[in-house]
Amino acid sequence: MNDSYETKAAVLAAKEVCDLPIFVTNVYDQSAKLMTGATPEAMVALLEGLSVDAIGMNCSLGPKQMEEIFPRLANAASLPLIVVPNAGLPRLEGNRTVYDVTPDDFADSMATLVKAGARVLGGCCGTTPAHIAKLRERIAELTPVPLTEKHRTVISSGTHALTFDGDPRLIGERINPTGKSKLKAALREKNLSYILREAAGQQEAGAQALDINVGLPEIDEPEMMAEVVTEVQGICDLPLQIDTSDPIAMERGLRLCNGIPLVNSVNGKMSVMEAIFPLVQKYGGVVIGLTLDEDGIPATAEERLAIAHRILDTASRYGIDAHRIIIDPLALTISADHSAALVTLETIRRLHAEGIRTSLGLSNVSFGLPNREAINSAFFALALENGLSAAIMNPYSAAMMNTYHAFRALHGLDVGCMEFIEKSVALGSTATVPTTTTVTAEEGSLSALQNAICKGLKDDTAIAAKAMLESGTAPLTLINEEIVPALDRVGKRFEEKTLFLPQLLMSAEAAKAAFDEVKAVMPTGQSGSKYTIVIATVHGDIHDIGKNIVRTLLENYGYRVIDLGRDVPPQTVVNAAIRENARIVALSALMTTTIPAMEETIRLLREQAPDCKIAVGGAVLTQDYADKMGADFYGRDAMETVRYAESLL
Amino acid sequence: MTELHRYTSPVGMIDRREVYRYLGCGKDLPDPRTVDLVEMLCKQMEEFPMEAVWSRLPLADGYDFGLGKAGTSLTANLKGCKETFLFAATLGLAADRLIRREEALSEARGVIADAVASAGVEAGCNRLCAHLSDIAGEGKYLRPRFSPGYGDYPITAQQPLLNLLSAGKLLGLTLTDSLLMLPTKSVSAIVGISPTPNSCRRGCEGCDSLNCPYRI
Repeated sequence: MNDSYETKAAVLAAKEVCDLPIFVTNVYDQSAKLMTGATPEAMVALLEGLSVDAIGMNCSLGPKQMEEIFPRLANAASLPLIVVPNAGLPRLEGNRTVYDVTPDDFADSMATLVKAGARVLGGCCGTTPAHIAKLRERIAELTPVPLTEKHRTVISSGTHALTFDGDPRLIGERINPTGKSKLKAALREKNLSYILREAAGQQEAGAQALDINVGLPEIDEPEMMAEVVTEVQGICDLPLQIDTSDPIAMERGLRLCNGIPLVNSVNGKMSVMEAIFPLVQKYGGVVIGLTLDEDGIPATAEERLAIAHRILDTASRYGIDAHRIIIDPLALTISADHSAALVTLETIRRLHAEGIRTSLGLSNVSFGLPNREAINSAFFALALENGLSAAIMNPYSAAMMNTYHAFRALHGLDVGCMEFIEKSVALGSTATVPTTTTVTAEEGSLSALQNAICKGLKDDTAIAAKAMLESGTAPLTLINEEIVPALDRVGKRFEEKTLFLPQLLMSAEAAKAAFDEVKAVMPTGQSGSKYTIVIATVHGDIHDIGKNIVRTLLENYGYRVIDLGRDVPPQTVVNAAIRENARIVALSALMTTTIPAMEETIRLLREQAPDCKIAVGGAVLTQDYADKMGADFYGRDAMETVRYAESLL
Repeated sequence: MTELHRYTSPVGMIDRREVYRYLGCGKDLPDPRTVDLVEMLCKQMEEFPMEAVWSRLPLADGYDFGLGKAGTSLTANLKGCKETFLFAATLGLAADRLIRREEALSEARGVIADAVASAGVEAGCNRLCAHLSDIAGEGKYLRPRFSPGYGDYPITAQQPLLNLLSAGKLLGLTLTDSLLMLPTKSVSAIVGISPTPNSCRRGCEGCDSLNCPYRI
């Protein structure tokens, strides 16, 4: 198979209908990746996690090329390995595809592969009975290399594996609603773009895996877990940690994860282990085991170790080996118990001495104290020194990232301190979020807030807006006399082509930051919205960047925008227009081939929602096209659409 | 059966002017922050591998590239050619994922990443065409590449062209029902092999969409 997600689907399908042994081979190219990017190590992690019986590679390459890639499989895998090469790379002779590797050469290479650990052998494209006969003859005297257990603690995404092998790992904690009111609101509103921004931001900040916890009492957690896992995987290739106490949500997450995730979590309670271990047996996963049980969190390291051992023993009864368990010895708050951190550190040290991997959610330790980052980062350094394998932490925290990079440099894990140097340079330029604005009022008419919006400075804009609100400016005054005039100024410059699309968008984002400050103080029920606009990229079209730009600008100008996304069927648009009582429906199409879908959408709108105004836009459209389709308005760019919306007020 | 060749190479040097043009800047340079983002993303994108498959075919009379009847602009482009290279190339899912990740961070970054990736696949194709030009042989000259949907070469020619190149099997390059390519940063094209170095209209000059906002 050519893709890791397809491979996972196929293995699960096979396992769900029969109990025959499963052999899986994947097609690697010369860069040692599957067509969609998975490395051999990622495939080993996935397939061993899914407990198949033998794994390997077939087709695409000849035996010589496979000799180069094979050691990577052999180093990672504990399972028997399969090699089924072509008889070389294909070549054309006249009208015939020819493979040049002779039976003798084929058999020689295969013998080398057997000595490197291959156990199941065969021939793919271009091989003949003669190749197989020679192969049989050549390997008759060889003994297979004994299988060795690699005991690797490894998780994976659709592209790569992440091992817990002594180099500490960072798991981003930001997609977890505990104590995060904005994320809670995003989950309630199904605002996936907020969640995706957290995923992308954490990856950029240096997280190596992402915690996904969407548990809120008032939402359908299994459904939300499925949606978030799917969407995050669409933009981000980090392995995931599925974090939930709901076994149904856990199963949805494990099933949809493209790879092998961390499973957060089990603990010493038998009922929890009985619910989660069968899922891990089926879908794979490295399990986080918390050292607590029916009696709570023990006060001593001995008792926490005892729970850890109970978890390991129970797991082994489900066929889950010790290397697939990571123990979280739990960090308690030092302000409540002055020796709390010491117990945790001792537990880490003793688990480490026994060869057991550990992880820790760090920030709880400083709860209730001022200057928490100082405590957290010092605790992080101590935990790392005691052998911590992974931390669930905030990768946006410069203090934490500094500790991590400094620790790696000091521990000889960062050769030449290259990464430390690189990260320190990057930190110097971007890490600090300003707390006071550097933007001032400009000579002439611009206030500091307007100036910040015009320059597209998000943080400065938020600070300036907050300051004005605190000094008594009414929310609506701020919108009408500060934000909108600033946006108009930028919009005008865009229309005059003295400023371009990226800047227009930066200003729009800055304005949004100001709106967020306004919303925070606006009395409830007073939204300030002008009217509702439904926006969509039409059926069959998947280009949504242009549509998103129009949405953002319209929102900036105070319209309530219902964004239906891309590839939206005509009737769905109509239904939304009627349901939301939309004044305007805005449709986008990029390709000539999706124009018919736009025409159909307009036709249905005219029939069922005749009061709606219809605005169209997109690369392929012209005024002519728009007129022929019977649209009310054609917008050449986003600003024109804003001006049209304003004209209907 | 058609003889198919694989080609893999990093995208290579991206023409920044192309990026700025896609961003709607015309010939002007945008603000310093945009320039910084363009630089950062260009550096990433230049390392991306572009995967391609190509084939060399005689341009026999009556050969149909999914044209139905010959379009005039493609026929003009291929006039005098005895053979052609056909190719399909893609930056793969990783490029699409990068664009969506940048878009998740901010719309400005998404727009810039999209423009950089578009310029990136073009840069990769320029490199591929230089490689094909070397392969073409003594006394052979390549015409500018011509893609379905360009001029009056119908977009419906996309499917037969990709089929001929086994682009689905070899590159994972497929078409939606409305003929959009997936992964999105992909190019398929016909390149005439000419016995004479006579030039023909290329780029914007060769296109009849006079009102195109990207025209320079």
